Amino acid sequence: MKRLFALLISIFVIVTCVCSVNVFAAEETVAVDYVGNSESLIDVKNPEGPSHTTSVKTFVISAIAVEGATVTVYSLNTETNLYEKLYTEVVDENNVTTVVPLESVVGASGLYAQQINLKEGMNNILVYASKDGMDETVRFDINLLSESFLDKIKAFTVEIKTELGNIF
Amino acid sequence: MKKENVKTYALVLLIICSIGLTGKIWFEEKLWPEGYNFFSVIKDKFSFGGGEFVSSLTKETISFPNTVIVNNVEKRSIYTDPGEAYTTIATDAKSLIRLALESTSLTPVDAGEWSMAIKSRSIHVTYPVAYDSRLFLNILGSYKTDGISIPVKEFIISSGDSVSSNVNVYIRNHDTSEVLKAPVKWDKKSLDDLIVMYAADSIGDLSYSAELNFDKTNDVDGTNVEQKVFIEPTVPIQLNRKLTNMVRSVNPLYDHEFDSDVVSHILKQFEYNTSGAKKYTERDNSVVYVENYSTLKLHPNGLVEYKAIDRSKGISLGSTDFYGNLLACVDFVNLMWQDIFPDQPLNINISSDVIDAKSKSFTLTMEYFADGIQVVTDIPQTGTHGRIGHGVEIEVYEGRIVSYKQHFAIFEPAGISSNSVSAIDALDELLSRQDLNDQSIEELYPVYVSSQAPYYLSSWAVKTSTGQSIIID
Repeated sequence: MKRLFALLISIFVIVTCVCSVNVFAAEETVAVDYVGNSESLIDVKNPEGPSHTTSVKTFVISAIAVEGATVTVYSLNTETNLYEKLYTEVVDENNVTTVVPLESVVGASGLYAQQINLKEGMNNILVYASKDGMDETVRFDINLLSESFLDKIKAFTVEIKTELGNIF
Repeated sequence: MKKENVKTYALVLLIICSIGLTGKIWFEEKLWPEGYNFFSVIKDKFSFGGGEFVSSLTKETISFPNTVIVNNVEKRSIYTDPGEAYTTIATDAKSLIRLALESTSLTPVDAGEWSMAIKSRSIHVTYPVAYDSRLFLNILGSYKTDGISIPVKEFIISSGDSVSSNVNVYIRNHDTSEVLKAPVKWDKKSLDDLIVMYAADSIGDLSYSAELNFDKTNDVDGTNVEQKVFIEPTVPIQLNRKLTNMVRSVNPLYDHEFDSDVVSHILKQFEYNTSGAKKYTERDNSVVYVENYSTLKLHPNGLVEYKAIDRSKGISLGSTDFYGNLLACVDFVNLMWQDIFPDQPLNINISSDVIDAKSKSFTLTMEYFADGIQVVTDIPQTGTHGRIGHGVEIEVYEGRIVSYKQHFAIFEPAGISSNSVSAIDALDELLSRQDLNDQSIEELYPVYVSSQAPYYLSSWAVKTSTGQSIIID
């Protein structure tokens, strides 16, 4: 009887663990400190480091991942302190627009690429990969320079060009 | 006295006419059995008119690039023939490339500068095949003969820095990947305006492999996942699905029976006597003509095969050098098409590299294009012909066409659209079927592949670092 009870408990624990991970993969949010239980599901290739600065409003995240892994992109909401799943609009053959999450299953090539739109300032991104009860998270920050900052740089460049023109 | 003068003038005129007409008959190869025309042989030897092949249209055709990609920091657009935008950009690009290849101040630069140029304000120009640069310079209309001789296929025209007044043209050696930079005097503002005008789409729809780091392993943290496929840095990768038009093919040669007018034109082009050539019909309705030490076979599926029985008796191209023979081949294809289908444009381009610029014997392949996308010709072997993998295949031996195969087809819009898969989805399909075994991907481009006859669907093709071409359908 004790053995049967222990077996049932074990099955319950295993099922609960697996289910929680699976449910977690489809979750709308990820806790800010969640790290996952694996380090061999995904390697992010772009950006190459944990922080990146750009003046371009779109960014393409690229990675290599194991075949069959589901990759989802989240962005940190600093008010709730939770990573929230990102969505995009897709237009089909019949010109119908639908909103879908940035979530896809990696194919046999292992290549993954996903375009995201950046908001001005700091974008804290989390890439979440999961497969067969294993999951991995990769975090990085992308700083989108503001228009005003870029205008200042442009003005500075024009000044330098004028100065150089005067010298030569 | 006046009457005598008139007689003299008339006699002189008649003598001049007779000399002129006799010369025309002597040098007219078609009136003589091939190989026995003494005067024709002399003409070949001394190259009367050799190398003077009038082929401005054909030169024009092959001097145009396959694709031009206009980059402007966060905007990027790809253009292919046909289209007004494509023609505008390609025309300027050709002139700049010509000036660069003529330049005497070429300097080697590292791969990093090439990658930076592609990410900055620039035009990335790619040709369908690699050309010897000196030969390519001739195709672009230059008479300069002492330029560099390297295989070229890709160029980047960069607006350069804001201080210099020159435009930079980067030339990549197709074999070694070494890059040369040529500063070219050009109206920089007009180039900038062109780039701003035509770089219209979001950069995220079309990323270069180098931007996604698919060309290398991770530098920073190393790697925990095995990278199964590497893609060369300047390969553009279409990330999203794209709505493309399907095309359908029309067989202009055979519709329940051979079109006698078309057959007559083909016979004439191959120097066959349209009324007297020996002819017999095979079981599958293929018609075989025999004349001039050669056979000409017309198949109901639109395939035409010419083969010289004796290699020294093929169709003379009338030139003594590779360049002349190459242009004569392109001209041969164009002239035949124009002769048969004067109202149909010939959308075809060379698909075999043109690098060995010294040989008088070579094989040239060409492919059809529809809406700027290459159409894959893949006609399986039958009882009467082998497998055909190109739109046109020409074998030249010592300045003569000894074998010629062309699948006659006209491609027109089918009026149906379909969503083509993204480039990564296509690679997933490829890798699920086969391992690339350490081969990197050098080219990844859309193609039309035969779906249910007569329809062709948009799909993808790759060319690997070992030269293997794989169609993903």
